[in-house]
Amino acid sequence: MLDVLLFGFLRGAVFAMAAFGFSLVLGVLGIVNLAHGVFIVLGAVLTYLLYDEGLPLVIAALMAALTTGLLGVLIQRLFIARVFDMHPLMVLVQTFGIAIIISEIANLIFGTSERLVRVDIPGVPNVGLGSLVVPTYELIVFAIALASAGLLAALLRYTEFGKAVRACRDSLESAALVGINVPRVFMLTMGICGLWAGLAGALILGLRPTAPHMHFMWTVDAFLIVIIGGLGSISGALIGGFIYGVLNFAAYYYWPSVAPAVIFGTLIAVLMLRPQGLFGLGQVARK
Amino acid sequence: MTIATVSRAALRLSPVSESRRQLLFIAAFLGIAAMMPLFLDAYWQRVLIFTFVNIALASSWNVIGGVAGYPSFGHGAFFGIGAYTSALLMIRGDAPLVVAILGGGATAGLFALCFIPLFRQRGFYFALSTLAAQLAVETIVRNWSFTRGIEPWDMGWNFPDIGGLHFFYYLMLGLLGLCLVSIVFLLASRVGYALKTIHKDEVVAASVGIPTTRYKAIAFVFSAVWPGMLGAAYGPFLVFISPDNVFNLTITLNMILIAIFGGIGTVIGPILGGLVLSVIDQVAWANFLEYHHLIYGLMIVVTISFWPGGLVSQIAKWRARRS
Repeated sequence: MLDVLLFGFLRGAVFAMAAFGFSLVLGVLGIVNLAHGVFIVLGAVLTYLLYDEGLPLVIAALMAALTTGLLGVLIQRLFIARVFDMHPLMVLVQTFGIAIIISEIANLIFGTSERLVRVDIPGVPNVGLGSLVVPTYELIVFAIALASAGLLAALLRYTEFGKAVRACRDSLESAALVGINVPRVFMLTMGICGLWAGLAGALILGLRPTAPHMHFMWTVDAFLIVIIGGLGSISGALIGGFIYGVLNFAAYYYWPSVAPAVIFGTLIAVLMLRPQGLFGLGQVARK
Repeated sequence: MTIATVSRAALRLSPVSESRRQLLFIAAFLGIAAMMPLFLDAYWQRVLIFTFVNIALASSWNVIGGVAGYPSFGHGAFFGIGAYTSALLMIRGDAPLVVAILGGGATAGLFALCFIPLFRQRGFYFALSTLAAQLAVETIVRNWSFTRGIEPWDMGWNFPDIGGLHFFYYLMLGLLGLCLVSIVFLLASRVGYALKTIHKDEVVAASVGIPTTRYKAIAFVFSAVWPGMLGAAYGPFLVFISPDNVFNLTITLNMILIAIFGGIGTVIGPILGGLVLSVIDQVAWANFLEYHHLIYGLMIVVTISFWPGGLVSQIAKWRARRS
């Protein structure tokens, strides 16, 4: 019981990190990006390849995250910008198509095998917390994820770009009227989404095996986290991540054969009973 | 004459010619398709059977997703439920195929009724809720010993051999015909108008007294019953079914893609889209097996990014240019 809670909580932070971009894109562009999971698995696979080539893990992770960030900008510029103001169905199918293309290309180039990097922290491989033993890497990932949440929150709060993003989130028309370059904000938002998701993917590479074909599971997870926590804030996504982490661990621990049904059932229940999320900021705009 | 009858008469005035045109088109299509076994070998007849199923699925999805504007991402579930009901009835219960088909439709319809609370969502939220519902149903069917197979270790169902290729060809063609004709009548009725109004503006629709939830429910159940019946007939045709081939997410995606590619919200669109896409799909299968998924993804992205109106709007454009 205690271990399920603790590990769920620790993993929750990195789950939340994977979902920050999703929340941002849903808030600012008003779309659900079904290619989101691609950023995460691609971040993991690219990190593995660069690490395999002999680069230090930290450099490899950062380069992979930059690549997925750039990919986010490109996807927005080339594809989503064309259809984002049409019926939501169009964006959903289009981004799912993009996800198929990228994951298939990744399969053809890198192969379909699942990859995992064993990260041992020299000196202290494990840390004892009461009666439980936790790998140090889990704690480091937890700290990085929390720090990244703080960084993103500060970015949104204090920089010029963050102000523009928040203006676009509140009202696109007013933002355009006061001279904010909305297409540029959209591109940067998708870039940040890709960057954060790619970095989360790189961290996840040390926690569980990852392969390109798992992208859709991550997309659904990200949606679930954002919906549980509530749209509109980084802290909401973080809380959603924690709850989802515990739920995920508990579902697979106690009801392993029907765990996905439990998780999806929770998603439907939250959507019907509290669509603004457990900690959402009031009413959600429905497109 | 009360206002209601006047408006009803006015409503009936215009669609008659349009539905007659649609029915003529469908009749021509069915007539040509019925003659095809004379000219085609077994391989292409099989391809056409898959095409008929795809067209019927896309047309049913189109009622809720295209006409009413509620993009269901979980419609594959009804197809799978139909196939599994048919397996349970025919293999566990020794029922004849007709009972299995009707039972598949009824079960899918009942499940669709359970999904009605999801109509509190709209747009993205509705799409993702229905997707989650499909994945949840799939997980349960995959793991519950009652639905998993006849033996405890089975992971699917083996149907008895009940008919040859020709039998299934005409069975699927017949189901497709009934499905298309029922859609034409549904859309020409009061329900069709209500759905189009809901698509345009649901708040206005509700404010002029259209019971939106009731009509959405009718459309949703209608568009679930047909996939259920098709799934029930598809199981014995495939001979072996498992969650991997009847609950696959690509079934849902195919419905949506065919509807968009042909022309979303139209009756003719899914027929044209199904025919063209099936040919492209076959060529891709036969020649570039390794890149099949990639080609599929490219088709989705190119269609939506550059051609969101689909074939029907393209044909309308050509016509307008000519005249």
